[in-house]
Amino acid sequence: MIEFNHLQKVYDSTAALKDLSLRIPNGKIFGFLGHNGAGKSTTLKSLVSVIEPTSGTITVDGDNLADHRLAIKKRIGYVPDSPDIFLELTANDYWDLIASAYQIPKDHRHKRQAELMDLFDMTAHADSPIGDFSHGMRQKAIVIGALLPDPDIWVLDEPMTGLDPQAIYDLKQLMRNHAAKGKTVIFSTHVLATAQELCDDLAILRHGDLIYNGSVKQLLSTMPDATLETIYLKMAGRTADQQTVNDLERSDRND
Amino acid sequence: MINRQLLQLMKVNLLYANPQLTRRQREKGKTGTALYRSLISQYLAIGVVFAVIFGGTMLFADLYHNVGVFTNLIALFTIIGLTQTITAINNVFFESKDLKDYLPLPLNQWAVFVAKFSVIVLIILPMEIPAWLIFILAGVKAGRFIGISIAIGTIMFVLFYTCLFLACSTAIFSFAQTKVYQHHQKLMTFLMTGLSMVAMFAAIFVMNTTDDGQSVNSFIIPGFSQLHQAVANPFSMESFIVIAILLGGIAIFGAIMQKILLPKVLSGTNVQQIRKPKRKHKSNGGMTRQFIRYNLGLLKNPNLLMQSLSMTIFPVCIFTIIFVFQDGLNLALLPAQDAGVTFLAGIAVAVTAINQGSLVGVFISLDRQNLSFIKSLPIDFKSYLWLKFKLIVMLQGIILMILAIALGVLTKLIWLNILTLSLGVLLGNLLASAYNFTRDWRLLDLTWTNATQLFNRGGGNLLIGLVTFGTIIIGATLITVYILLVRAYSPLLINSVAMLLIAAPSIWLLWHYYRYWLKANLAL
Repeated sequence: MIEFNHLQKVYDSTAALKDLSLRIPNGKIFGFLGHNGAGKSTTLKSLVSVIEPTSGTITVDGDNLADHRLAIKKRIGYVPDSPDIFLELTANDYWDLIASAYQIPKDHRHKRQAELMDLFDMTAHADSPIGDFSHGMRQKAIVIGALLPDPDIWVLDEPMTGLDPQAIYDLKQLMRNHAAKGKTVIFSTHVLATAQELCDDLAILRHGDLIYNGSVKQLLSTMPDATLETIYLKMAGRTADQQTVNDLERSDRND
Repeated sequence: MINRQLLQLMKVNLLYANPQLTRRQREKGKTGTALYRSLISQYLAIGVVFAVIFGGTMLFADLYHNVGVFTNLIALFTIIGLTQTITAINNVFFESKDLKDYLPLPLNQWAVFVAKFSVIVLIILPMEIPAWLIFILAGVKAGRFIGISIAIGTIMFVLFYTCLFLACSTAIFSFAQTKVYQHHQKLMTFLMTGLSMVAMFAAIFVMNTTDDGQSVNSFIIPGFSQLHQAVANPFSMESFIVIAILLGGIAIFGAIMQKILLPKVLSGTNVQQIRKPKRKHKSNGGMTRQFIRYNLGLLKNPNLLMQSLSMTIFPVCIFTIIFVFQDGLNLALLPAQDAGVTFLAGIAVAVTAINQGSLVGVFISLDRQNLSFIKSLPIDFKSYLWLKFKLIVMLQGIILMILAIALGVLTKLIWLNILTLSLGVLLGNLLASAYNFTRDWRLLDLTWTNATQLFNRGGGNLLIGLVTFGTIIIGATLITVYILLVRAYSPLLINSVAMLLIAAPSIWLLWHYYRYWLKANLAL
């Protein structure tokens, strides 16, 4: 179980996250939705220790992130919002770094790396610098890196961006299988159809505020004929309907 | 397991510090251990060159009896070490964009720190090799067995420079935690590197001017004489006190770094905290103006500016200062018939200053990924590059003109010779810029993460040093020959022939680069 307790992040005088509190149970695929600048990446970056929240705490299975940072990091595989990292390294160099950071045993690493490279069609590119890759291939290299240690918790910030349809399909399958094993997948996306298809639970953020946290089923049941897109836009879109948000929050609390 | 992480991180940082060489070695098929070995061997090569050049000259100095020479040399290399440390820490820790990429990984903070510092040490160490030799040679000259001298000299060298390195790091990382630094990072970096650079040149200058009244040999710098004592008489009480102080310093600074500063530097607290203030939008003003504004913005990188200036303009300034103030160079007696000589001198000054480390030598690479985007715009890409060239040549021209006029005024040249010196500077600037701009295109690097990577392309610092040195030697020889010929034959005839000899290759060079760019395949 991952818990965000009264999490706040303030940049100078701008609040990127305002008092966020939510729980993510194990064995779920959990999605973060929201417009650009809503606070999705800030939340995920706080969880993976890239940024430090201004106030509030994050706990993973009861352990406070601030006190058990290294141990919790070892349980998390992270795909950042931009795959433009470690461009000087070859894909193999990058995976070597990941393997040493997560202390993956050599035999296990080689077997899993071979499987992932095969799955994402990266075998032929393993010795090329990441900087020479296309956006999609960089994304694949980073995704392989995140999945290589087989961590309990996957934190994927817009992971499908730039991937080809086959890779998207395969990644979705991997996410489902991972959650089915009782482990956790947390991801952010702007593709609402993907969120509707994949997520068990989701959180919708608007201007740093949490405006919905609950199951997708529950959200869809509030407007039986509507898609997630319609509901989302009604809640967080340009002509957001505050009444809808209030109704949903109330129904969520009663649940 | 930490050792495995550390080794992997050191490899990563080594690649980051040498991207161009890495790429070249990879193209040759080198991977894994062979690649890392070839990267390390370049640092060894620089170290050997430094050791041979400086060690050779110091072999004849009696560093045991001449305490003044010992302290002066150690002070000089201390200041060089401090300057290089400040620049390297800025580059490797603050300018390099990879620090935040390590944050989500379960890496031991100490391993990240040690790996980064190992690269900094690799950068600095070759330049400090002469100091190591000084410590050893002082012992050898004392008549001690060479093996013991090497051991004691090495211990003292390691203790002294580790202490210095940690003290410097503590100061920089402490300063980096302050609000002033975080809100004015670029300005503060510029000031830090700038002041240390000025301190280095001031030290060289002071050391070179102490011989009026007080010889360099007899001028003992307090504080450093104790180091001499420790090397010369290692088993005295004073030596033990020096060693104890150094060990104490290492322990204290090491503890401050490990317990207080590093957890802050290598955590999320230092990343993405400061957002740049909103800038007022400036109205369009046409594409050319937009590009000029954008390109001038590319130069607002304090580390890049300081490093570039230290390799280009500063050496010229130092020579000027030494010639004018130390040697009292007075050229008031140079007649108008030497206008050609000053013109040639101007070319030599500009060619010395505009080398691979100059702004024109990295200006295209500064565009980074933007260059691909600019190429995709519905504009003539060559016109864009031409605009860049004109802009940077003009900027450098202004700086060099100011320098030339200052040089002319300080050396009391007559106005005609100042004019021809300035014209020579402009021509030299144009020629050297054409070469270095083209070189930047040939070695184009759009994925650099810190400025050092750009300057290390091709032959790196070693080549810059050799080219500068070579240009000075060739320039001085040509100028001497020119002066002698003007004195021996008809000045009109010699000046006319000289102008022809200068004009012909200059025109050929410009034509050559014009044709190069005309035919250049601008594929990225």
